[in-house]
Amino acid sequence: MLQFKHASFASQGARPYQEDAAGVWPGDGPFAPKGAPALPDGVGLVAILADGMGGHTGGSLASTTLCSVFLESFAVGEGEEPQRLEASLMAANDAIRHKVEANPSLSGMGATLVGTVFGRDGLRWISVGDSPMYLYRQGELVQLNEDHSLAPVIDRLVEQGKMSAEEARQDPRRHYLRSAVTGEDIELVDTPERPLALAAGDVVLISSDGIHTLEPPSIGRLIADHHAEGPEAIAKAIIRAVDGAGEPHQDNTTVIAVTVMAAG
Amino acid sequence: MTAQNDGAGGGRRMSGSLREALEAAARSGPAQFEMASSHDERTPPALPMPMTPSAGAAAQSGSNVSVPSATQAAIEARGGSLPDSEETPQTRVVRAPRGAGQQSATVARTQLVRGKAPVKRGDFHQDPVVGWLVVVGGEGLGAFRPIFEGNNTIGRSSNQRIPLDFGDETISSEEQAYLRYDSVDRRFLLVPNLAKTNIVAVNDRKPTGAVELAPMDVITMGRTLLAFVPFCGSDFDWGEFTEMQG
Repeated sequence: MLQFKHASFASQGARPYQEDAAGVWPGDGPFAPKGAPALPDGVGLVAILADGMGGHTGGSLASTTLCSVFLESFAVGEGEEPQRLEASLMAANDAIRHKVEANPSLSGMGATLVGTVFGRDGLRWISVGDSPMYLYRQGELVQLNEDHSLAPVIDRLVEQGKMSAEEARQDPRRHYLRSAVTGEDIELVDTPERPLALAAGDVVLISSDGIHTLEPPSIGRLIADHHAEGPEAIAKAIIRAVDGAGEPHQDNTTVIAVTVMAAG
Repeated sequence: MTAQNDGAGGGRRMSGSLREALEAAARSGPAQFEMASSHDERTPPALPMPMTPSAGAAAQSGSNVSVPSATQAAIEARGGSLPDSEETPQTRVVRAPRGAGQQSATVARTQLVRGKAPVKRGDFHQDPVVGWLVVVGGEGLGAFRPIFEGNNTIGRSSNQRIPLDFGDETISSEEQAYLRYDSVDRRFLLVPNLAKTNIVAVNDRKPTGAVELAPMDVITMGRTLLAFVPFCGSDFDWGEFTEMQG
């Protein structure tokens, strides 16, 4: 099986609180499953990232809850990876619902979620919301998961000539979510049936939407420049570039970089 | 917040056999559920360009040729196209920005827009069909085109969601009209595109605004006559199917 190395860094940006959360398993991070269970056969790494919403306590509670419940549920789950991913998403969604039921002042809290499994079959994921995940391979960067914000809908209006590119770029509705994990029904879930085959040298980057301060070509260049130094250097360079852009309303940004190496 | 599921209520008159067939399909999983296979005849849309940081970078790195490019790998994993392309196979639910126009411009960066009744993606192998247009006069007589949930563009070009590409050149190539089906109010609306020279008629009336369609209404576009045959409506909507699946 291919080997996977990972690193994660976060920046609060210009926001008063951090509503992103990220976790990996195996690892000794804050969301690692309790009791150090063994990885399922064929699985090398499980990584999750959530971007919370709901302000103050709600947003960060939602994203941290999703990360811990998702990883915990995946670790004790049964069945093949796709079933585990879906069951973990549902368990995480239920956990949000229970928290809101127990404390109605949290009503409206929720988060995006990107849950990934790196293993023998390649990369599988389950994604809700607008947190992008990219594949970098041999100089090329491609977003893998669907964007459940209104941005693709608005961009389509531009293609159809119903809105100018400038209006579309400025439109505040770009950041509205069409789907999120809120404890209620989840409206859109992106989880392809087939795994993505990975190759040595690949970099997978999972991020919250704060990364949109950087254009995709810049992200690709940063990965290319730090590729040889490993995932810490890649993740750090991206966070540094986002902070360096000096956006006055810079959103929280969190990245998980996973590099893929040949076995042995 | 979950009041969207209403409307499935009373007065279901669906015939037992269809209801049973749907329930059987729901029990045995979506793999056995294939409809409107004529859809496959259509030319797939062109894929969007990938985000390439530098055109020559892939060539420069020059390594393993047997590994597909990032774009190819993404398309392969997604079963045919990049995410958020116009007809991504995974996107079984096409959602319009409903109600977004009423939202305040001063918003927190991340917030949720509530849309229609939840239909889980992954349950369908392609856009679920909600009705058909059958050519009852003119070029293509006897053929049909599926109608999908949401907004359907109608025109002569093959990139239209309802392509009337049977050879009638008097139909506008793009967006001569829109046919909309909304799973919340379960109505079909034909909306003429008044910016186009070519006129659309419904049962020989020439509407200047949206018209609600009734079964077997006849739509005239150019020299082509189309009969409207609904599948979804007050008796059935795909939202019920996914509810059956639980």
